[in-house]
Amino acid sequence: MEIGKPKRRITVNPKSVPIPTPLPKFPDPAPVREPTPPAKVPEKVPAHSTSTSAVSSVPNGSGQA
Amino acid sequence: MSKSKVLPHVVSEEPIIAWRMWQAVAVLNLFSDDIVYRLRAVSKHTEWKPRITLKADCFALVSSLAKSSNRQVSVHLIGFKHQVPDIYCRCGIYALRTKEKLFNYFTGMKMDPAKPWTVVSANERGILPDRIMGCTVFGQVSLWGEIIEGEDGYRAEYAYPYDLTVLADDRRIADSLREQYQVDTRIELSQAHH
Repeated sequence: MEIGKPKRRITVNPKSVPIPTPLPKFPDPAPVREPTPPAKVPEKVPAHSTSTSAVSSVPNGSGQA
Repeated sequence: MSKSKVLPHVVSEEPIIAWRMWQAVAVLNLFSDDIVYRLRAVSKHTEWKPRITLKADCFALVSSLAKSSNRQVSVHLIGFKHQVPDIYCRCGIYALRTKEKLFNYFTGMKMDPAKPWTVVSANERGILPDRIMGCTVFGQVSLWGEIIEGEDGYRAEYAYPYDLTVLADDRRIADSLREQYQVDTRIELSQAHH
């Protein structure tokens, strides 16, 4: 390709680069979740469980020796 | 004194809008298993990547030595890494001043932009899709950075398509180019230029 005899130099400093930004895409709607059934409470607490004793074992700092 | 300093020099904030031609090339997208269309230069087959500025490179050391017997030009290009585009060189992203000049150029080169052609393209892994009929695309292009303005057109440092016209009655190509390059894209039937 020929552009012909050079006439002048141009320095173009655009305020913003002339590249289109992608059009925003609307997010997909959040999937509808089935209601979660309430967790089943175990009928029997295992004998070695510490789940209830952990709180009571903490010193209460009441000063009783 | 460099010849480039002799040329008048202006500074602008507005990109130059000019005209050029591309080929629409089919590329296989391995992730989606779809065919998408990309633009590439007609002559050197440079790929114009979607939403990425095309920056001109110069391989003048090879091309100018091969094409020019002008010792001054050769010495200049060998001795100094030059600004792209340079007044001494032929480098830069080319575009012409008007649509008429663009079509006159391709007619003069005995290239018929309206004639469909078969695209044989490969993706980066070398996997060939089926042979697909491609087409020529023309349109306006934004030019910026350093630019050499000639009587008929420009050689620029940076470019990106401004709008595109697909010379084929194929909506898939137009839709794919519009989606990828995010510029106005339309279809123009080939007969319009005859």
